[in-house]
Amino acid sequence: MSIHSSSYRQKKIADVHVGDKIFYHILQCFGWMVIAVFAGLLILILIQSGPALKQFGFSFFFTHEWDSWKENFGALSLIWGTLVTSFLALILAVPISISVALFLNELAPSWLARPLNFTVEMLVAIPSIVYGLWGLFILAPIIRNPIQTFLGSSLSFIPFFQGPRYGIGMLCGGVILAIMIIPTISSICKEVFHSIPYTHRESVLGMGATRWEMLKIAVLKGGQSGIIGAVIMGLGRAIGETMAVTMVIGNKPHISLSLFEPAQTMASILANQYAEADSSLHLSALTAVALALFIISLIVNSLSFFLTWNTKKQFGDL
Amino acid sequence: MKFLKFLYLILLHFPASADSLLINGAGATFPYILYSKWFSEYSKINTSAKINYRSIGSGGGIRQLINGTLDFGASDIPMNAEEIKKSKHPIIHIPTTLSAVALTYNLPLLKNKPLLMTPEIIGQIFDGSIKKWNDPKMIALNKNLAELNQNIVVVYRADGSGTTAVFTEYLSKTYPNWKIGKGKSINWPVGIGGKGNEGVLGLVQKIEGSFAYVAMSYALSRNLPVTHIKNSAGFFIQPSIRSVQSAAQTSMKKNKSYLESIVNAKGKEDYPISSFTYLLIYKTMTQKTGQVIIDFLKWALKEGQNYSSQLYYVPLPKNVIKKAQVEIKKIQLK
Repeated sequence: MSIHSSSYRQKKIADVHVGDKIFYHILQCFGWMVIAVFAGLLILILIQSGPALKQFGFSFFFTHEWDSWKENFGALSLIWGTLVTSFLALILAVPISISVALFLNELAPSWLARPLNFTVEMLVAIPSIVYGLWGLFILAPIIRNPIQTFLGSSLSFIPFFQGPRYGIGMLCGGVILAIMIIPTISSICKEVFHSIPYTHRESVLGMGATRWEMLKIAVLKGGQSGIIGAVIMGLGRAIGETMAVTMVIGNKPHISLSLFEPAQTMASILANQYAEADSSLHLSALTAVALALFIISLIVNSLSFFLTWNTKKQFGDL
Repeated sequence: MKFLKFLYLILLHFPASADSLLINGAGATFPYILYSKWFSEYSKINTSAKINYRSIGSGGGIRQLINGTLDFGASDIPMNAEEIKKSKHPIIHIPTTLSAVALTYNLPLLKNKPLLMTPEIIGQIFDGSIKKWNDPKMIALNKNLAELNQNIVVVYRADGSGTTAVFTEYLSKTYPNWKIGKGKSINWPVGIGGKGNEGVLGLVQKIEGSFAYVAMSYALSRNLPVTHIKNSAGFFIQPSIRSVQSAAQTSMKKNKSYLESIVNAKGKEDYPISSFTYLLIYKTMTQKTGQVIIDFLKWALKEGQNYSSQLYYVPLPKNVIKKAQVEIKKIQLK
């Protein structure tokens, strides 16, 4: 595969037709444009977040008070809210998404697989504000009673499940994010499973494996790298999600272990306060939050790249 | 054939719309419904110009006006000293309508009996020192709360808004122990935040025992229960178009500018938490654009006021309109 593509590329550069050359340069231009947009975005964010970072220094990312009246800004509580809700969403969504993908690809009869598949893919197309309103009016009351009532009364010795039961809060934010990333993760997993050659499955079955063992050995293990990539992609979506989370998280920038407590994420504070920032320092602090969000997304994406690359090396390119 | 005729008619229309002057404004979201009604009505009277308004928020309106990318701006709060200094061109404020803050709640037990509160109680609820509905201070005013052993769930606006600014301005003026500050977004010590009036109302409807502040026009148009607040003359007043207009009128009686805050007005019938919302106009404008804006402002302060109350906005009292008309005369055209 790789040898083939590189020789193809060399041929393309060596091509002497004028039309091809122009075409090549036009496409190259667009390629550079993507990099230019990325660089421009980064430069703008860096310049605008300058005043806040100068005033608070590196401790901006390690203090948690966010008070625009006293002009005291720290992003830790926002980073906390983002990470807790996103990882909660992953914990809930990953087993479900992989099961859905396995069922659709390996087990479901085609009369059921097709409409199910269509439904899962439709979930991606729903705008996030619709998820948010649904979360606020339908999901939050369900989370309040029975879920919080149950968790709060029977598991209240765990600090995650203590505190007031409003319905909205980090738990609700995590659940809505889970629902939103299930279609993302499951549709990529489905593609991954689909790409595993049928000969793998047949050879495992031929060795005398049961159906479940075949799924475990040929599909899940074979598709490991792709699954990890899908999960990280889901994480990326959860971290950047704005409107749906803003509607249900309670928008209170503070740090608490309890999942019942309201919190604030980096994306939601930007949506809430950027348009009506009280002072230029407030605006700059918000841009610094955007910078942090940018960096975290960058780290998540590079992580997914390296993990996939590593496992690819281990199990062979699929 | 029919299609060609249609196309021809459209093409015929183009030169006309290209000739008409396009005026761009942006800013506050609170008066958006009233402004879009005004601009659509005004375009029927003056067909030569089209006024465009985008509700991007007061802060955004001010920033774009300072950068000179707008013909006029709009804000719920007068520009502060820092912003006035930044702007290259002098800017004047023209009040257009009044906004007020209503305190609403979800207490099925109360049924239709009014809920009475003093500024001190409101301040203590929002800073977290009163936690329960059956707090002795509350029972002293509302006897029927005695049996309500329920936590108060404070709901606030999470997005930066003029409503929060007016409400916190009121608390810092009337409740001496208010330490939390004032402004468009505040670090609230208790409660949960909703985005926009809709987000706040969504939470209030779902959580029993909740207590929240919303824009009055929002509360009135939806028939929400509203708290009667003790004003500085000692009367318990509920928010209404009349009580807010009266507050503006009494506040303007002395030689006061309409740029000053009108919270905690002194009159008997005055609702204490209200403020003006303004259009922000460059003091010097080009002949063409400027004339349209001046004509529009004159219309808005006269005929335009008739549209206010049907949309649950408060028409300006006469003394304020007079002051605004004097201000319009200061606009210079070049």
